[in-house]
Amino acid sequence: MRVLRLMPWWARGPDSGGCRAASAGDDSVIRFNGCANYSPGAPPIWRKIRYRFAPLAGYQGSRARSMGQKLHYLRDRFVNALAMLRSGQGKLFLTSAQVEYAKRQHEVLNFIARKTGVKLINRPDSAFVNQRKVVPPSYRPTRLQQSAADNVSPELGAEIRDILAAMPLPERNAE
Amino acid sequence: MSIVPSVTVLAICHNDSATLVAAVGACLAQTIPGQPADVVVVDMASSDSSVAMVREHFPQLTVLACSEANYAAAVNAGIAATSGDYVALVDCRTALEPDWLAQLLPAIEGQEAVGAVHGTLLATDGVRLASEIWQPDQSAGSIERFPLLFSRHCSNQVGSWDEQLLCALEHSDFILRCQQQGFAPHRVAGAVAQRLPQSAADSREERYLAARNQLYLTAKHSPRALVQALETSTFYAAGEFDNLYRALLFAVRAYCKEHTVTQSRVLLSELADSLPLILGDISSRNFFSQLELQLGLRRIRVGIYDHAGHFAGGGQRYMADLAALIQDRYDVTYLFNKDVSLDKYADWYDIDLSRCKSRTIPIAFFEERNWYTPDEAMVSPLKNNVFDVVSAQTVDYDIFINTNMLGKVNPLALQSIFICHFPDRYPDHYFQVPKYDHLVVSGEYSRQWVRKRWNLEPTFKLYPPVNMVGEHSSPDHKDKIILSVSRFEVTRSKKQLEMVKAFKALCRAYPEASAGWKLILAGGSTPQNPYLDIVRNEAAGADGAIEIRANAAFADICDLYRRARIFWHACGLNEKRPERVEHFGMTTVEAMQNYCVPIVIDGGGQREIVEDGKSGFRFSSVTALCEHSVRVMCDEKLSREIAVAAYERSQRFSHDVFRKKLEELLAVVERELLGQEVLQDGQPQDSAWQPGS
Repeated sequence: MRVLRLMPWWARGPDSGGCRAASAGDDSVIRFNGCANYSPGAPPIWRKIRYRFAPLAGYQGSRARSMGQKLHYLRDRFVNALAMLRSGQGKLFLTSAQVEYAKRQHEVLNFIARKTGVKLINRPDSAFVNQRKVVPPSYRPTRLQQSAADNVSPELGAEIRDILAAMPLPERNAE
Repeated sequence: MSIVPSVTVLAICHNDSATLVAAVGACLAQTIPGQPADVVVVDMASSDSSVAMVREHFPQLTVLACSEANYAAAVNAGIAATSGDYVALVDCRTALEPDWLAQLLPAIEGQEAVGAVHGTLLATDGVRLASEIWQPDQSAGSIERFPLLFSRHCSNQVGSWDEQLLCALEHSDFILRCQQQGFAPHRVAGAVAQRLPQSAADSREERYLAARNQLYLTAKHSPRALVQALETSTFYAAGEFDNLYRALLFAVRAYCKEHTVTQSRVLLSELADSLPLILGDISSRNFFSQLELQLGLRRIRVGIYDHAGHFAGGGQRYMADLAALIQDRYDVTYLFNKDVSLDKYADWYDIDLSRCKSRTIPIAFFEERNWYTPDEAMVSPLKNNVFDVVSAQTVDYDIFINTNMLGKVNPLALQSIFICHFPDRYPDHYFQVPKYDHLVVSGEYSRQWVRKRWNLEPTFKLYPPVNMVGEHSSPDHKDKIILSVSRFEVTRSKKQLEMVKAFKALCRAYPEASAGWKLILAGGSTPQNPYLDIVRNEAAGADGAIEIRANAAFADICDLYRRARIFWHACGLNEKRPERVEHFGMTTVEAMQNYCVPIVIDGGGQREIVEDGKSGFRFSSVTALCEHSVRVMCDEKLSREIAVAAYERSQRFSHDVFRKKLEELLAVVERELLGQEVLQDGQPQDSAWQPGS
């Protein structure tokens, strides 16, 4: 119990849930919300630090607004980084740092773009760039009349199917 | 004694109130030896006061009213309604000189080989306009809207004016067809007309049609030049690839319809070679696929993607209802990331999807990690979008429906629909939702949050279908039961624990009113659900007045709805995060369809379902919940009135309403698939999308 109290709050595992005792009068058994009972033979809890990806619905991540949410996010990043270093995943640590840096850079550029009206951002996009449908047309109504589908020779259908079969979809962005 | 030819002047008018009096007056001033010209005004569905002005200033004139703004159709109607030997075609934005007809008539009268003549047209500033007809290698014809005189004989030989042109290049088309029939139209310089100052500029549609008809006439009169004409087209120069696509589709479809298979095959082969270089591979595939569809060669194919289709949930039921309605109309294929049998949907929801097919698209990224459900949060911006493997398959469908709010699938189908029950995630890298043609939300609450979080405007609101009307339900035969139906979520979002505490508090505060009443909590639960145990423990202290029915059978739920007088729904109580509040609340509607009095949380989708004090009550605190409940418990008359009003209100969310709204949505989608031309704005679109703050 004393060891646990010495642990900084952000380094406790995701499933430790703090170190509140289950009942005030019972000091012999200490339970943690959502995890196994503590016992003297078990490894110390800081050995069991796990990742905190927390991709739950509503999790705002780097977009957190309130200070509490921001601290929560910061804690998650620290815990993850610590866990990566402890488990020897240096490459993953560097990648995560790179992702975090990219996010911050994106936020700053986005802020500048919003304030100045200059379009600086190039959001990562799908491999398949459909040049035609950059913005869907349905948001712009039209007054033009429709013309009904026509029935023509089925031979033409075979021709079109042949053309379509000969048009492989590019694996990566080929447009 | 010579026979005097009869001349009919057709004055074509469309929202020309500013120039109409001067133009028609000039037509009436035309004289031919022996008799005045017969003037007929043809109105193309003007929305201004044009027709009223004609009737006021020229009551003696005949006015032909057309139902649509189609120039060629107006001309055809005018020709059919008149009988003059010669027809003069005049735009109501042009004033003829008094001798215009007298100058032209001798050039055509008695000379069958001429067929049609036109004069000189001056611009508003007096500059003479060139009178060249359209050529495939030119940007546009300049003879359009020139006043024209042609013989009825020529008109009969050439045939009716091409109504597909709508409002541009009709004159060029007519003169080209005259030439093809052996006539020799020409200009008479002395016959002068002048453009009148216009108040309104050309509309976006008119500009589109002018450029679209260039491609159409190329396909019609010089099909071998069509491929070369693409890169010199107005659309290509302006970067309007959407418009280029639609105009080309229109032109090629018309060509294929009117030419032999062999001729069409030649044109299609040329296009297959060059179109990918202009529009790209995906749009080229889309082009031929849509052409096949528009020529009536196959049925519409629909792909429904559900990344979480392997377990039962509200979103899955919503989509299954939708799929069941469209499976006979289209070829429907479900796209899953796991092996899923559609028979499961019959077990889960009693919905028959036997006419649908299913297709599995495994995503290697998640398979390697053995994830039960793909999670878009795991996609790194530094790596490729792992959902591109799904995007690649969407190109095989005419309509692609993304049904479970996975926003990183790029829709490559001809038409795409994104169904959003709630925007759980903020826009991030690979966010593809703005690319969908239709963004469908399941209620007003979702709509508000889509606007707020995604800065997008939903195109359609489609309430979930609820069909739980009990045959034996009535507002009179109710037991003293308060019912709540919702899943026992581990995240505690449905607030069963709070309801148990509230009921116990209610019993303590109002022992007489609550005597004999029971609270029944029903709903699904996962095995070994710790939250269910907590709720059970709390309920245990109520002396049997609280029942917990986890995973009750469907028939039991129906029976509970039939017997319960009050329905509680507390999801969202004391919650600040919008995703923790009930987005819609189908169980509330189910209860209302069975004459229960709904007492529900004042938030989320419940506000849309229940009108406070009219078809139920809404609360924001446990105290308000208890007070409303006691009021209904003690006042049977009030209870009955509210139950009847709730039943009527619930009909807004019935299966029939869902079907009708879905028909509306599909009608729009089908129109776009089968031929309606939807315009792209004049400016090239920027691919950078700015999310809302």
